[in-house]
Amino acid sequence: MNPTLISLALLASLATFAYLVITKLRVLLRMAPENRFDQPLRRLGLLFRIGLGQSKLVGRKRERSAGAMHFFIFWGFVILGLREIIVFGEGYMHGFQEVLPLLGSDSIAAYVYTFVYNLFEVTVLCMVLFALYRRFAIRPARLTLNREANTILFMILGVVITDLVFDAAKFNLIGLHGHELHHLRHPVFGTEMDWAPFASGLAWLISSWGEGVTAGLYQMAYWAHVAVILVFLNLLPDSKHAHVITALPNVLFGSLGYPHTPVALLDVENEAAWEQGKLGVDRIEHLTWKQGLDLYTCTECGRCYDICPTYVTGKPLTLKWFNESLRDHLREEEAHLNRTGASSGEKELVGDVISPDTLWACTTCRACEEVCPVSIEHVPRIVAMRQAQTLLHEAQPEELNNTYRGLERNGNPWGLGYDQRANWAEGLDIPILTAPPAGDVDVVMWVGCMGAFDNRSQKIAKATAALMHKAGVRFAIMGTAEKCTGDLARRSGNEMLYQTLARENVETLNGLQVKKLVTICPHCLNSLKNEYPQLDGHYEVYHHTQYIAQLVQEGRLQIDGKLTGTVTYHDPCYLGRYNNEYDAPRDLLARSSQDAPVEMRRARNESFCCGAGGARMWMEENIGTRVNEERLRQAREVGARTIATGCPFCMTMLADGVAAAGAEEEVRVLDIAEIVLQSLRT
Amino acid sequence: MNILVPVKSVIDVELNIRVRDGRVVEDGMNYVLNKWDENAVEAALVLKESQGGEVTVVTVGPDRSGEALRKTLAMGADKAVHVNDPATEGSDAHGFAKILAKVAARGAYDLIITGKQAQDTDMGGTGPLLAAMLDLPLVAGVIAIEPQGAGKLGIRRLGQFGTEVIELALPALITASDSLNEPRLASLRGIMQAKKKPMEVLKVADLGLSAGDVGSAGARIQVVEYLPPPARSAGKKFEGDEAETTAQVMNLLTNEAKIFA
Repeated sequence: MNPTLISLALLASLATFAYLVITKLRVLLRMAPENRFDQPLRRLGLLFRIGLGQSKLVGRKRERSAGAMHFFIFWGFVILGLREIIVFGEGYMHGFQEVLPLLGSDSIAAYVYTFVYNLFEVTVLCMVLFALYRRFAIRPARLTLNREANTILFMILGVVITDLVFDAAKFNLIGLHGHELHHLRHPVFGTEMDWAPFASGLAWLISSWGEGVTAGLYQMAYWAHVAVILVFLNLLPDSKHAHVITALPNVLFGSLGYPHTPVALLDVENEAAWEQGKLGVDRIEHLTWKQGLDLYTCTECGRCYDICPTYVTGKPLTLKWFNESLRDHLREEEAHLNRTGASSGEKELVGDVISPDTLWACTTCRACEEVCPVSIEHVPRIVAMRQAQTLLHEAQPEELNNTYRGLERNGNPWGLGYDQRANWAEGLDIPILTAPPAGDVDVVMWVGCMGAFDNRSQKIAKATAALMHKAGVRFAIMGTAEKCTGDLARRSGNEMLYQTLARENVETLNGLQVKKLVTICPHCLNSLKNEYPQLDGHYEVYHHTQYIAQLVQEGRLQIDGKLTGTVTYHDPCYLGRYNNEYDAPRDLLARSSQDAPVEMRRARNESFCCGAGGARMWMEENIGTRVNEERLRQAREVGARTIATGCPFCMTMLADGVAAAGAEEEVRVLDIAEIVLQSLRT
Repeated sequence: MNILVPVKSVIDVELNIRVRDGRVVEDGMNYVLNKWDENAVEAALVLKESQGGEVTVVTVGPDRSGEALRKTLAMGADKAVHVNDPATEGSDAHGFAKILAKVAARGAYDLIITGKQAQDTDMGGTGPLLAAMLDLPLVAGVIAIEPQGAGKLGIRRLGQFGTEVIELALPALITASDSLNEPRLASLRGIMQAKKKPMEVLKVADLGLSAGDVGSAGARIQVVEYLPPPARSAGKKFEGDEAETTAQVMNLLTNEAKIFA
């Protein structure tokens, strides 16, 4: 075509692109370090499943059509990437394709590839038209109509249309006007035209156009294609479509630990860190580079938006905007960061960029992370920002102060006398562990503050104890030596208090040489199992539904389906999404119920939080409607008369919802253990 | 404005108090800062923040009382005095006031704030006795404090006929009610800084007192014995329809509890 022109265009475009990308890379290098280069094979697994397989896009039933659309556009991009090498090469050298391995006229692969890219050009074209139709006609709530998104869609249209027109004009110039232009030919395989049905069809449509017009079209389509590609490339880095570049790396460097990287164990004794204001995330550069990459990668698809319990109930936290606000702030600070290594400090991260109401609305339920197609980790950065608010600025919601005081003094959120912790077990013949068990204890029951002090939750503890007794399990409790695991302190950013509680518990557990624990509280489960290892507490921890299911499996408990009426199971976030247990409670419920339990619309990994997580249980809920009442509505929507759950907090929230709705006669909330106990074979 | 805040470390009243052989069992007990003293510290800190000056906290008690002092330093008090002397054991309110008066005399304080009573003894005597010994005006059970220029404070307290509005000339002594404020938590910042703050440990001799002046030796009243708190009797359950249960409740209230007599 024109080597000089194509060189100039490439040079200008690539130089700008490199500048933009290097600016971003330098920004990421200024952010907090984090090792995301471990376990390369598992990382490749993520890349293949979530990236190339687009599992989060096509894997969700509710979003299947949009997911499929994206799947085809994504693969279209991958396939057409190679096509661009051919197109740009042609700019330098007539018949450039012939020098590429496997893509010359004598290779069948070249013909197959021609067919595939031609097919995908049309597929992408249709998918983009579908995307535009969705945006303009269907208008799903999670999408925001904006110029940026539309510009990009039209550019993609431009890319495929110009290439189709280019091929069509080329075919006509060769076939009708005898031009000597390069195209694939082979005595057996046939010609390029035979393998490109759509471009050939378009050629047929414009076959009546004269030679001059066709030649002009050929030139125009070529240069328009080059222009669109090069402009498109430079629009990416500063738009939400940066994900075209960053999504695959973001998935590759995603969290391997389940469910996400644990909260950082801060060194709260470190005075230097404190003086420099480096506890938690107080400025944008305190985010890790991966969290920075998360910001650039968000495509504002809004899947996190309509899954979020706070959005559904009208609170100011919408994760899409949370991410966008942080990303815009990061962009504003890019120059300052790269010049000085720090942000300018003109805006307070919480206050100016993110409102406190937004930050504290999160229940840490992780639904957003389950549905994010590009592995953005929302919750860890929210907790880290809360850490700075609580530890550096003492700006936690006031209601938490009394709760903290109670935890400090008596190891439970109400501040009730620690000496009354084992009162619930009086007369139940449960031994209290005071010395390392001499082989006569199978498992230690971790009761948790709710099971120990809350009237309703004590019944769950008692039911679990009764079941273990029935099955002949030898178990003990730790009596008054047990303290709150610190979950609520940690989720609300009070790492100091969390560590105090957690260290004392680890010391007690290790001192008693406890190896195996069973707990009725998913929050305790999560701390003991996933967080205490940071403090050298390594235990085998079971949720009571897991443990009971095991007893049933071993034949030590027999259940008959005695429960009548429609029953549904509410997944606690910290059992399901945090600890990947969806089946044990369902299995027990199915065995205990006469009829098959029904599922709510939001179930399993897309379950709807009860509203208590993330220390929200201990804060006022003044904005919007109440999360627990919304969940109750969802349960009643499927006709549930019994809501079964496996968490004392979910129990409290849902029962409160029932009371608020005055529906005590119609709906009851029971723990799986209580249901199993009532369904035991007698 | 320099403020002295006498505080006390008391048994956490959330715990079951057990009595054996006429003595309170200390084993397994936790000790915390008396809640009204927490209000006093908070009030002092608020005044310091608007008026400047220094907040000094003082306590009388064994080693464990030092923790209560650390907490007040972490809340934001500037320095602490710990009178830690076995001789003080068994002091009555009079004895505590005597010691505190000596501590107060060592500095120039514009204001002394203390809790209106201690959660353990519920005596409420130390503050007033201290005011008497120092010959200071006293307002007890304060619910609001308003700085009013040099040497004066606007004070509110709940009196018999409603809220009393008082103009108090300094120096003076006030005791804090729990509706005075919402005490702050000891923050991480506070805990960090508290480590570097001065805590003076004194014996009674350092205050010019002899062992016979204080403790059980100097006490004017003696607690002969502690009796365990009465066990809570079981509640009564009323059954029947609304009219019946209402009648039963009214009957008991009138004839047994005699509340309408």
